[in-house]
Formats: sequence, structure tokens, C-alpha cells
Amino acid sequence: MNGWTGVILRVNLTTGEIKKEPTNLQNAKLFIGARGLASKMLCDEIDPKIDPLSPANKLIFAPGPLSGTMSPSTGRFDVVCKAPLTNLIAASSSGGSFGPELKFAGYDMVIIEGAAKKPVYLWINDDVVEIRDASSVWGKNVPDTTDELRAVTDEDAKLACIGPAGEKKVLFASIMNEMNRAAGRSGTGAVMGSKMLKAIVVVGTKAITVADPEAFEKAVMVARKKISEHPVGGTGLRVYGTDVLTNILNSVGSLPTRNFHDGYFANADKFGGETLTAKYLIRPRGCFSCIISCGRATKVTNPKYAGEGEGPEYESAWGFGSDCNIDDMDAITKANYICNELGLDTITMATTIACAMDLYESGYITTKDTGGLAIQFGNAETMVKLVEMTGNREGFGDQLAEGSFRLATRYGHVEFSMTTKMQEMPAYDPRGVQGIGLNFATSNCGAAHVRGYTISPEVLGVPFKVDQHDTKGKPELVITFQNLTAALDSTGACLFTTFGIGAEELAALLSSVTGIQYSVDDFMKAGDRIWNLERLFDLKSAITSKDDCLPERMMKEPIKTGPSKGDVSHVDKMMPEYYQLRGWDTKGIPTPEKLKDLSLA
Amino acid sequence: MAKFIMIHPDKCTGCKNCVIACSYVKEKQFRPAAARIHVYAWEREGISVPMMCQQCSDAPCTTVCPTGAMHRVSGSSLIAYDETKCIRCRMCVQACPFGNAVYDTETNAIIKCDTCNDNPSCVAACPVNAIEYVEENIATRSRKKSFAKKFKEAFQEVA
Amino acid sequence: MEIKYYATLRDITKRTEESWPVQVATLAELIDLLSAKYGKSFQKWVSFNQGAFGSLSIFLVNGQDYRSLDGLQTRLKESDVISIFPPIAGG
Repeated sequence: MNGWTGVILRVNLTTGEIKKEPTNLQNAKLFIGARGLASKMLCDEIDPKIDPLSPANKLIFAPGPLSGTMSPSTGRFDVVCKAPLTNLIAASSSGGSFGPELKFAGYDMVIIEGAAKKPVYLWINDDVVEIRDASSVWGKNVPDTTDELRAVTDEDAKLACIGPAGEKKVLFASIMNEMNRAAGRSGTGAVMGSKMLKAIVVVGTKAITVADPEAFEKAVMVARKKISEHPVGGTGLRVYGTDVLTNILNSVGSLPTRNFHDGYFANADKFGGETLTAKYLIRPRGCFSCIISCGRATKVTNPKYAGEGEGPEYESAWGFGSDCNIDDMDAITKANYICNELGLDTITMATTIACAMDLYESGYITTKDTGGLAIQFGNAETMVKLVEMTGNREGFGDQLAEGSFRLATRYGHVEFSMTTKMQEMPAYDPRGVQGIGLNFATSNCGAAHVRGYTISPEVLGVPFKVDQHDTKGKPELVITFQNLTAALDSTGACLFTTFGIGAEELAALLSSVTGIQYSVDDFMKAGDRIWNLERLFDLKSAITSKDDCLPERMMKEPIKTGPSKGDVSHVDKMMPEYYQLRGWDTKGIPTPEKLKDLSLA
Repeated sequence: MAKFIMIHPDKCTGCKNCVIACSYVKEKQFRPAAARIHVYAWEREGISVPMMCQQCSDAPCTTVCPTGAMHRVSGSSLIAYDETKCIRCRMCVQACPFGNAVYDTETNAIIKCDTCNDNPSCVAACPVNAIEYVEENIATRSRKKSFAKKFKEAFQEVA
Repeated sequence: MEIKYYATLRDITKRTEESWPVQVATLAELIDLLSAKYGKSFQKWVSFNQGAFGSLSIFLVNGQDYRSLDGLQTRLKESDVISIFPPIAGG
């Protein structure tokens, strides 16, 4: 096979059995790889009703057919499982070099089943695959785990691991690789922790082959040129990183503030990308085969919050920033470092703290509940402390470790949790930006931005401009972005390639690498297929159409200040058209005709 | 004037486009183990360093080679490898102080950078010019100036 | 009028914002005046005639995107706040 390696590695931690199986070419054609193919495997193999933290769950690490090749910025992989935060199907994407290394070792996918009785790590060195004792690193943070396991395997090995947060099954624990890259959302790290799997360590020396080298070289040249000539993909992200979004979102009045009470924060500039670049940036970083280099190697010198690492990204800066009413960039950056070290999703962590602050200021949580900590909005020092406590499940952190939905429910006010399907909304106010709100309400993993990033057209004007306040045409726009993204994710590509290229160029890269001809229609249809596959799982596991909604605050409480003052979300008005355009019935269930058309029947 | 491949580790993002470009140009497939350039990363410090044959003037690999398989191409700065003369003794691998000559078990040969016939693929592949193909005599000026600029900026802030 | 600069425009204009005392009728007029003041390095980010990036830049008038108003012909008042972003992004 070309692009794909043709081999899937299956490891059962209960029995210790290690198997190699051929990659099903028919499935690979239909679901491409990474998010799509791994989701297909998961849906085929597990009962949607299982407890995500039980040995019955499966944890799949899957790069795509483009991962490891010179296709620009396509070196990513997905972690797929049933998610403990939401009980939905999770596909958490990450960059770095881990995905390509799995390909060089010879694998399209690693499927982890069962659970070990004691801490273990998986060592993969091409054909050699061993389950080894991890007791010496259990309890250690991500950087130390990485260094120590490299010391006993290979000093240049690539490594995906959990920190203490995953070990303690914090419901939004992440899986980290290259120390600073994260498969962040939905709690994949907790699943890894429930399997007592501390890390996967890989060295790969084999080759990935290309079906049509001449066509591939041409496709790469075209893609590289388009991305590097695009001001965002070619320059903007390298110079300022994703955090450059802070000021733009604030300037259009859609920067969620104080647990989404407002959409405008006067001091946003203090944690924006311009400030990060001027005061914290050491140098840009890039994932495998990346030409965009949005990664930020950074440092905080203030002794109170001293540290080094990568980030914060926009979502993280926003979350610990305006959502918590904080403008102290030293504290915000430190909170981000702690999340990376302990293995925590920054979005859920930050928004859960914001929720706790909101409940505290409203009098529903008191210092009795918090063990004496005053957790009002704006308290940067306490915010940082709470991150540390949550990653270790200490004190009040043990309650935060359940996420904002369960936290707010515990204190009798679930309406304070800014979630859809129990996952927290990220850094875009759905009252000010109608389309992204529809995307939050319908994403198969719970509220998420990358699944259908309509902020691009609605705010940035890429590839064209639509009015952020308008609902007209948004269902179609959201669906197009969701389908394209599902297919794009499944190739191993980074979403930021869309600042430059689209379905046409991605289909050309995919076709020339694999030798399977994908037209633009085939590509978009694959995305539609993957979306519906995920939807079917979710309908069986946890949700109905009544969960395709936003928190009531977004519908009833208008933005208070700023340029989007007075706005509310109209997602309920857009939903019927969304279902209809998706080919679903009025209950949001894919019709038999739709499923047949997608070869999902 | 001879050219050589200059690295700027402070600019390197760790993307390894150079590594896969090299492997692809040499073997038409992606196998980093076969690349003549490697990138070493230190994640805590956020720095990566690309390493390849330095085409040394007084190359230890040529000194120890018993057959002349490792040799300087007459009239150029390139240290070339003639596989037909190579007896696989691996003395060059041991002699190179930078570890840039490697024995590859897949192809049963020594692999080391040959500048891709004076048109290095790694240089073309790098998205941030962390690897440059430059004239020998001006090579260090940009590095000196980039540090000098830091002084300029430091003084500007205080002034 | 108040003009706010972001990202690369801050490095080029050497400021984050400025009060603009000159009366201008439209956004197009303002862009021309700013380009005259700050030169070619500024102009390429905001000009629609010469700079490819100009059409990708974001101009907000009181937080509203100019493309939802009257485009470059949007009329400006003394109390307006104009924000200018060169092409940027995130995720």
C-alpha cells in the first residue's frame, strides 16, 4: 500500500496479546485514515453504551495516509475512543512527530484494548512491540516521563504519554506528545489512565511510499506555494501564533468574558498575540512537515510564575484570561504550562474554573466547599493554584476534575455550565457569531470550534466574508465546513492548511500518495460519511436532538457590552434547516436514504 | 567561490521538512532513517538543531578511508562517496567527529550529505531558511548581525 | 476618531492606537491618508489597488466589519473607532 502502511497494531493490555492485522483497504477508501478510519473501527468494535473508563473501551492512535510524507503541514494524528467527559465519540487531534513515527514504524493505527493491572508503557521499535513496566514513571509529569522513558529506550524516540491528570482520571485529561503538543479535548487521557497505560514510545525506521511520485511532487509544490503565499498560513501564524485572534474577537465584541456573561473584555490586549510575541516568545515551532510554524516556544521570567514550554494558544489564553476575568499574562502562561505538564485540556480546565468562579460569586459555592480558597473572578493566583490542584485531584480540584457540567450540577445550578453535550464551549461567543454557535450545538464531540471553524468566513473573511450576526445561509456554511474538516482531519492534515488550500488540493495530495483517485466530490462525501458515522454513535450512546442546543444563557442573556451588545444566539431557528440540509429527519436522525447514499446503511 | 550548507538552529522550528525532503530525493520514499540530515530537538528549551556532513577541509573520513571511497572531489569543497570502492569497513563512521557518516543497513552503504549536486533539497524544503546554501566567506555575517541587533534593541528600550 | 492598530501594523506604525484629528468622509479616504503617513510598508497591508493583502485585511468601524456596512465607502464620524487588522488567524 502507498500512503497507508497496510498494517494495524492491536494490543490487549488485559491478556498481553499483541497482534498485527492488515488495514482494510475498502474501509480506508471510504474513511481515509486518522479520525475517519479510527472512528469506523471504534464504531464497529465497541458497544456505544459502555462505560468509557472501563476496560471495554478502546483507545486508538491513528495518523493518516499523508502523515509522515512531505505533504505540507499534514503530520498529525488522532486519538479516538468513547469520551469520559461526554459519553460521545471523541477524536482528539494532535501534531508533533508522534503520528509520523508510528507510520515509520510500519503502522496505520495502534488499537489499545482492555486494561493492565499495573502501570505499563508500550514500546514500539518497528516490528518489535513490547508491553513494559512503567512503575518508575507512574506519578511523574509529562516532561519527566518523556525524558526518563527515552533514557531506557531510545533518546530520540517519539512519545505520547499522560501526566498525573490522566492517571487520576481527570475527565478532561489530555494525552501529550513532544511534551507540549496535546490531544486535548474530551478526556482521552483519562481513558489511557483507566487502562494503566502511561505512554507509547516509538522508534520507526521503515519507509512510507508514494503511489505516483510525479503527481505527488506537483501536488506538493502547488500546496506549498498556496499556503506560503497566503498571508495567514505563510506569515501571520508564524509571527504571532494563534493568540493573535484575541484582539480581533474582542474588537468584534465576541470574546466570551466572565464565564460567558459578556462578550467584551477591556484589557484583552494584555493577553493577546502581540503581547505574547513582544514579551514571551522565544521562537516559533512547527510540527512534522509543517511549513506554517504556529507553535510558540515561550518563557515566563517573573519568579512568581516562572516557567518555560510552549503556548499559550488562543483558546488557552482566552480561557485563563477573559473567561476568568484575568489579564495577567504571566499567570495565564503559567496555567498553560501546568496543563501541559500534568496533561490537562486547557479549554475545559479554564472554563471549569470560570464556572466555579461564577458559582462562587453568586454564592452557590462558598469557602467551605473550596477548602478556604476565595475563587472570585479575576483572582489569578488562585486560578493557577486550582489548575495544579485539579491535575492532582487535590482538595477542591477533585471536584473541578469532573468538568463544569458535573460541577454546576453538584451545586444545583447546571445553567452556570457553559457546555453543549457536557463539553465546554471555546473562545467564540455564539451570541455574537451565529454560525459558530450552530457548530458548537451540532459538533459530534460536544462544543468544539475546530470541527467546523466558521470563524474563518464569519470574522476573518477567509476564504470569503459573511456577516457574523446573520443567520441566513449559516446552516449550509456550517455543514460544508464540518464535512470538509472531517475529511481533512482524516488525511492527517492540519486545519491551518485551509489558509491556502482546500478540498481540491487535499484530494490531489491524497490521490497521488495512495494511488486511489479521490475527486473533490469523493473527498467531501467522505467527510459527510465520517460526520454521519459519528452522529449515529452519539445517538446510540448518549444524546437526542434536544442536546443539539446551547446553554440557556446564550439564548436568553444578551451580550452586555461592546460591539455585539444586545446579541443572543438564534441557533434554535437555524436547527431545522441544518437537519434538513444534512438529510436528517426532524429528530436529527440520519434517514435511511442518507445512510444508503453514504454507504453507511 | 565554494558554497556550504549553513545551519541557523535559532530559526529551526523542528518541522523536519529537510529530513523528509532528503530521504525522498535520494530514495523516492519517506524514510528518515535514510536521510543525510537529521534534526535533534530539545522540547523543554524549544530548540532544534539540523545536522549534516560539514564537508570538512581536512576530513577525518577521507584520512581513514583505505580505498579512497571517501574522497575530496578535485577542485571542489565536496567530500564525495564512491560506493563502488567502499569495502564497508565503517572507519569513516567512527572517524567523523560529528557522526555525520552513517552506515545504512537497508541499502548496505554509507550515507552522508552530498549537497544534491550543488542544489541541496533540504535548503529548498526549509520553510524558515534555518538551512541556507551560502558562500563560505559571508556565511557568518547574518548570524553576527542578528545578535548585534539584540544589542541595538536592548539599548533602544533603555534609552 | 480613534484608530487602533494590531499585529504587524503596530510594528510599522510604532503605536497601538492614535487619535485622528483630520476630518475624513469615508473609510477609503482614511486608508489613503494613513498610507501616505506611514509609507509603503503600511500601504501593502491596507491598499486595495496595489497590495494583495489589502483585500484580506479587516477594517472594523465601531466593531462592525466594513463589509457589513458600506465597504470602503462607509462614511465615518468624529466619534468612530476604527480598528485595522492585517490578515491573521488562529484556531
